[in-house]
Amino acid sequence: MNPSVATRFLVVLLILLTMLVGAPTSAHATIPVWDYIEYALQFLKWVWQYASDLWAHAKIEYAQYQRVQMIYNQAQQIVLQVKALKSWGRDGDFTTLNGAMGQIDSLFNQLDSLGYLTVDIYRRWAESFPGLVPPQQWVAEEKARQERIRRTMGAHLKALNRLSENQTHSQVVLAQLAERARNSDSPQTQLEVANMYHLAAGYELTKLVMTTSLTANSFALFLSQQTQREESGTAAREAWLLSAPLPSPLPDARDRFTGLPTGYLLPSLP
Amino acid sequence: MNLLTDLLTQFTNASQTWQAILVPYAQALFLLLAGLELVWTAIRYQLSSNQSITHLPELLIRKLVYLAFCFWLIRYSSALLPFIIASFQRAGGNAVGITALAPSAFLRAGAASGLRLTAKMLGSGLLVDPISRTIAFFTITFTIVAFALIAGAMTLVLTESLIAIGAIVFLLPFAATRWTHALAEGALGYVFRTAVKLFTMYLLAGTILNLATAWSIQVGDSLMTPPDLLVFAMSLVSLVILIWTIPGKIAHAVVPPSIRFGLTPTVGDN
Repeated sequence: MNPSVATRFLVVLLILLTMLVGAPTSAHATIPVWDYIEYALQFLKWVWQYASDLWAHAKIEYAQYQRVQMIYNQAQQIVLQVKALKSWGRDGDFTTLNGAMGQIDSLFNQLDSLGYLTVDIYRRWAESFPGLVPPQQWVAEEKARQERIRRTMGAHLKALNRLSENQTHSQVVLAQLAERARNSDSPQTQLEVANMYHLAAGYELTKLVMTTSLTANSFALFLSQQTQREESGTAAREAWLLSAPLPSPLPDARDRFTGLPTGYLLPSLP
Repeated sequence: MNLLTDLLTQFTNASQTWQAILVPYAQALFLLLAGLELVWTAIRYQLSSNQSITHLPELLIRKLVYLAFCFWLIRYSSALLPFIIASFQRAGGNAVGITALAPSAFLRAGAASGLRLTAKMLGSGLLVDPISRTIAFFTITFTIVAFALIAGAMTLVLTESLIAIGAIVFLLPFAATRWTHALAEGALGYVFRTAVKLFTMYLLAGTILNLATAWSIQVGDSLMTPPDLLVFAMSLVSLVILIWTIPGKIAHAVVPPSIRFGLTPTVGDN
């Protein structure tokens, strides 16, 4: 069957278009030629390039956004930590601590004790344990020293008692933190729980330091007392031994005896 | 407080009153014994087979002169006895340049030596070591005891002197009878022995007084080696032996207990 004229026309047209597109050669035409297909392809390439650049910029902007978000979160964390530290007291000073620590501090400062939290601890210690100084009133001095040590030991016991009682509270706090950690559903909440945990850990660490310090303070007092007793004894003995005056080569008139009755003078015989 | 000084002061003061109290008693006792002697002389004279009236005045005169001499001795014993002892005391004192004995000075020198030795050894840490402690203990003990014994020897001689002056007068009346005159002679011998002892003690004490005082000062100035310490202690022991034996030996050699002064009322065989 012979193809129709229309079919033949379409085939020839297709071949021509294919040749035109697939194997074009530069034509040095003397008259202007308009390559519409080339124009279309150039346009498509430009559109593609523009879209690619736009996408790259969008990705950069998103990264910047994420960085800003991270800085904001860190700032929030610092704010939370500052809030947490504020609950510790002013400038980390024990005297401004809240809770058990502050109570222990006031416990030592209210009494005439030698607790390690006392502000003028060294002055009180030096006053109680003067070292190699001969005692003037040994009984009175020893009594005052013993009384001060007894009060300090009492304060130690009270402080240890407070810290032990506080353990229950610490366990409750830890349980609450664990519950909050399980229920935290956002980074912000998790961060808050983490900060709370750090605060609780620091608090417990301070309690541990206090307990150790209390024990060390007790030992220091005991050793100071033992050392002072020996030093007082040594100083008293030295002062006692060296208090003997050197004998004079010429004895006092009161110590001199002739072997004759008082006021006797050689008489003239009757 | 010095008990030795107080004791000697008490003796010195008391010896004055002893004489005042004892002389009247001695005189009364002498008159009684003299009467007895005269009665006994009369009885013997009457019973004597070779009695002669020509011997009676001589017998009476010699008896009465003897008894008068004894009475004079008793009457003025408060001057005579101190005179005997004071003569020896002054001679001894002048010989060595001292006017009196001072037993307390030796006690003080001993105490100072002991304490200074103890302080020096304690300061050098010697009293911690058992061997050093033993040597120190013996040296210090010997030192203190030696000085105390020297002071004791002086006190003994001084006290003997005061007793010889104050109380020996009560034994002189016994010169009145033929049976008891040995007591009076012994008493007089005791007075002379005491005087010689005092004389010798002055010589010794005056010689060693400055030496002992210098020793007691020197022992604390530098730490002595163990041989030096032991030599020091043994030297003191030698000195003690010297002080305790020399006066007695000389006194007994010069005035032996067997010495007789011819104090006897016997005239011939009556």
